[in-house]
Amino acid sequence: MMPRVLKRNFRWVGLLATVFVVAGFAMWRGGGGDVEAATKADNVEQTASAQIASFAILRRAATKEDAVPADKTAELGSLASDGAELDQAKAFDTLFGRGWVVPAPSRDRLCLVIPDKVDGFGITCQSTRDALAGRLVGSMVSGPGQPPDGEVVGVVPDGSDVTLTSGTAGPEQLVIRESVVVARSSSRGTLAVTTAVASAQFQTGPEPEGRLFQECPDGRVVELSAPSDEASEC
Amino acid sequence: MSARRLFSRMTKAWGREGLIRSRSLWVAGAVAAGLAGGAVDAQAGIESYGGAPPNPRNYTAYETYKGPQHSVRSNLVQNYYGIGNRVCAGAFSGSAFYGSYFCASGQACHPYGGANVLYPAAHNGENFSQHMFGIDYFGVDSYSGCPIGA
Repeated sequence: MMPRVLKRNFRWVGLLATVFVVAGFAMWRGGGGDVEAATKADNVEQTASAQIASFAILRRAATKEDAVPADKTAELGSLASDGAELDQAKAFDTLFGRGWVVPAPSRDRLCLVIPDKVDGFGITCQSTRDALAGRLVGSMVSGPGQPPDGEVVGVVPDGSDVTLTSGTAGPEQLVIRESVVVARSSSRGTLAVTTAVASAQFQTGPEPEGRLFQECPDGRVVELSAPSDEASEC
Repeated sequence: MSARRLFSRMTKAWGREGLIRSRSLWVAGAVAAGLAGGAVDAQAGIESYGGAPPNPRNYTAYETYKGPQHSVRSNLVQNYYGIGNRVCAGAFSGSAFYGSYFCASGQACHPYGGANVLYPAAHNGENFSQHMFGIDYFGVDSYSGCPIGA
């Protein structure tokens, strides 16, 4: 039998019990969250330190040229909202304009941004491990129907060795300026990166044309004989 | 009024008017959110392309896939399995290739100014097949859509 005093205050007892349970759970989660946040902050700091220790461009003092222009932040803003530290970006010159190396230690990534000579940028991010292995490389190259032209850009760790084999020419040693190599690649070739921990190869030059497909507005997929407008094929 | 009586009255009120009122509020909120969402969707969007569903698809050597026509803000092309093979992101303006292909290992993203109506294109930069997909961010969207990646 429930004591009468408890029976009379049953709703109050229930309410208090609920409050205690909810408060206890919140405190438990909160405590766990603090530990989790502290561990994450340590990891981010370690990643940032590892990137700075390995890439000369991240160690040099920032200059006003490093700042991403305000008119470009809309195009690069999603990087920032996804963890890249645009305010820590370091600029370099490419054949087609200014590019940036952008650290994203909270995502364990290092990003490369290079300009398209007509419109926009090319962006790729690699894990710190892959960047240390020489895989942070991007190329901006001509497409079908365009005169062959392009460039290849790599961000490599200190002590790397980079060569470009292009066309019939033998391997050419590329000069690394503050972690960055930039080379014109108007014919098919191979960029070879050798770092302290690994080596990587990257195809360069204009893209060969393979099969071309187009998704029509009605959902059908058609193969195009040429890069024509969809209206003529769908 | 005792605290007990106040508590009793409050629970009764929630059961009668409060719940009804809160339901009305929920319905009104849902309608407003739907209208707002529709308005935003009319101006901006994200579309995955690469073939009829299910995306992604297998791209043969150097194969290219033109996505749907949009005022492209950015075009993200990825190897579906996160493998670092060469993938390229570009765009066509009608039948002509626009700008350049950007090619990189495993993930390549090409943001644009957004002023042009383009067909985003995903291109396999390898001489062998790979499983890939493209995502096209378009319209008046402050998020250009070049995320850091998985």
